[in-house]
Amino acid sequence: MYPARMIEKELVAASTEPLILSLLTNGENYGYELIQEVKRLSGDKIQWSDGMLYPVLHRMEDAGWIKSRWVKMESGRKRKYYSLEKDGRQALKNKRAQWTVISSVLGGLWKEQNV
Amino acid sequence: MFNLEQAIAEWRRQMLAAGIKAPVPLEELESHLREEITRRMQSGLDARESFNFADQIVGPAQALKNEFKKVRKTKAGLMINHNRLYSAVLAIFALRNAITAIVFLDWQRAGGGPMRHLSERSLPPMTALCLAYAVAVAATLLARRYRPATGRRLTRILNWALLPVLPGGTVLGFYGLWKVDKEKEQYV
Repeated sequence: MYPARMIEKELVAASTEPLILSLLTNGENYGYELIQEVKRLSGDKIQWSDGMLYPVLHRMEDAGWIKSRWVKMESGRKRKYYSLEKDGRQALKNKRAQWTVISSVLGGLWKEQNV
Repeated sequence: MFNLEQAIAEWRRQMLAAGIKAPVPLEELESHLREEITRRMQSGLDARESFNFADQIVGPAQALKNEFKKVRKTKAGLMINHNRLYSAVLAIFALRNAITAIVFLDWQRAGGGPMRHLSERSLPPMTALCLAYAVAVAATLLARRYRPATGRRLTRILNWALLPVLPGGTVLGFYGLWKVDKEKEQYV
């Protein structure tokens, strides 16, 4: 599911929620497009599978972070769009703070070690 | 001759057979499958190749089901169970309030309760209060079940509305005890 040289699946799993929340900050979006967007932004290094994304989206919806609505397209096909809720913005704020700490600690260590 | 709609119908059947529920999440997965098929066809693949590719991307039904199961077992899964437990407590509270309202109505007819510890004046507002709580909790439970976003807002309001219950009940309890004791003294 995650080819070599891609980001490890544990890290992908841990970053899924902040990534989804951050992507939805830009406006409502649907599952397929979220996958494509992350793939594009990561230079193909993060490839979410359906099996991973949709359960996470549903869990986040249950938690009240995001909400969804079905939209009928001109083609007659339906798409389920997700958008951010107030609790989701707060969750993103918390996650952002946590990831910033991790990023700055690692950044500082690697700078000292010239890695 | 490959029939795309037939292939998708067969894919749906396999998903259902594996335990993927409809309409959620099956409809969404089908929508994703169709997006992928369209994209592949636009890039030049024929219908059969596009379907096979999209089918692979979406993944086997059992694997999908396992992923959904896995997520339910995690923290959020526990939260859902917590929500169910909370809803059950609310349901008991609603029932208790409804029964109390009925008992109070009966006591109004008896002129202040079996011990006459409640004044006739206090019973109607208490009945109305119990009834209001019962209706409010029932409405919140329904919203939590069918409209989660509204349910969350109502739960928040309900929790604030429930805060005065404990001190209010305590004051009422002490008042009732004092009244009973006072009447006992009169009999003695």
